[in-house]
Amino acid sequence: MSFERNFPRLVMLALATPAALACSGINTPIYLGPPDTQPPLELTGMEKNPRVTNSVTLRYRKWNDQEKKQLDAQSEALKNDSPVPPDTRVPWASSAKVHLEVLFTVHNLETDPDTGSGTFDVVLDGANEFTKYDENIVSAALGQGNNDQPVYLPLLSLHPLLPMKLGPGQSYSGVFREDDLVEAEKDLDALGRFQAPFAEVLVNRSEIEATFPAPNGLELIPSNVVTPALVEVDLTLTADKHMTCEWLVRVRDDDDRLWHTTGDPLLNPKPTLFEPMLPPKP
Amino acid sequence: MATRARAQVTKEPEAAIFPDPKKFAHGLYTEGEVGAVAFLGPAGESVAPGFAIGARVGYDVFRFFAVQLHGLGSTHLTKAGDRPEADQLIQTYQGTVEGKLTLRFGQLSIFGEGGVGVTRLSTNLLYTLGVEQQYRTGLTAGGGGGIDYHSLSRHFSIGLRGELYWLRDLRASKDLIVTTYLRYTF
Repeated sequence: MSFERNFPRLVMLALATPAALACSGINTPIYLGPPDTQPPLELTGMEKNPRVTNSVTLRYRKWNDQEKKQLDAQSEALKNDSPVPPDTRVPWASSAKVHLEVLFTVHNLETDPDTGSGTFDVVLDGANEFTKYDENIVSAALGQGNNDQPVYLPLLSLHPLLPMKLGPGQSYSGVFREDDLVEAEKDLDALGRFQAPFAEVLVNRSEIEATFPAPNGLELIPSNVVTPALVEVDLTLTADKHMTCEWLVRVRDDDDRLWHTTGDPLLNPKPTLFEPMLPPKP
Repeated sequence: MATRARAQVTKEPEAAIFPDPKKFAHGLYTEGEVGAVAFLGPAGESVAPGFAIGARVGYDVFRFFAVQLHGLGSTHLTKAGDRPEADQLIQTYQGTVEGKLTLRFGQLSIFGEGGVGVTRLSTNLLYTLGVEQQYRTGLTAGGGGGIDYHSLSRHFSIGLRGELYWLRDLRASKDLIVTTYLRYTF
């Protein structure tokens, strides 16, 4: 019987399936939350400036000699490909190989059904190996010399979904998806290495260019540039009532760049703080 | 003058046993299984039951005793209330070395088995929930039993088994494995 003849092969397939599943575990996600040493994201609703931020720093291992040579060679190749060589440094942690997602839950801790409803927002900033974006610094730069209410331009927001109202005792769970984080990573690189116009870059989605050609601030970025992944994620909660926010970064690390072996040296990036270039005041 | 030969039956003939279990193949065997895994204890509060698929390869040292290697993978959703860890996918992989005792009654048999091995989780989610210690791989030990039905083919049997394994590094949680399997003995 042919089934009986083929059965040993089927059995081998059956044996191989769990093994394949086990190997797929190599690229399963790791979840990282802000360390206990940082203040929790909690607002009482009584603050004058109701904003609180904490961070997750992603610890990457440093390259070995072989990997350093590969990075340099890749960087050199990019330089030769470009008619006008821009900043072609190849990041150790690239957006294409390190996939990030941010999961958060906001709790309204108020109990009074009449006055307990409040509005909250959650926005995201961060840093890559080369540049750090802090909306507080940008806001200060924008507001220099006037007494207006500060304007905050986060690297990534969930607008228009957020801000939203939350009733007393209610919770809201949200996600900054991987594609949202890729957008933030592109934007940060454009601002940092290529001095793209920051308001355009932050407001427009880069994929719009593909379907509806319009300026989105990324026109000057060469297509062969390797976009760096975030090495730090900063989450800011704003709320006008007593609320807390729990959050986690979910990381899929294709090339095993995260640090997890004690003997490995740590990557110690020193990103430059981004400051917007503003036209001189008349 | 020819005489008629006569035969006398001195012993009653033995009844033919059908099917004869002695004719069932024994020795090297493999099994493929599907079923479910549910966690009990601290991990049970954080991980929902999930679908499982696994395989065994073993050898019948005697007709009543075998040694076997077992691999099982299962996939689950986390239960974490309204925390951000809720509803995330997590897989478990268990590998064990087991001993198996069998008692046969014709085509049917019952068996008991037990072993030790390792369990690996695909993510550190249970660590962030405070269930797991730092490492994602931990010691496991346990056992169970089941019932097996041998087909009229020399090689095939099917069965149902349940096992309970202790998971040291998940704060001594346990996992209950219930599977149905198809076995082929070479």
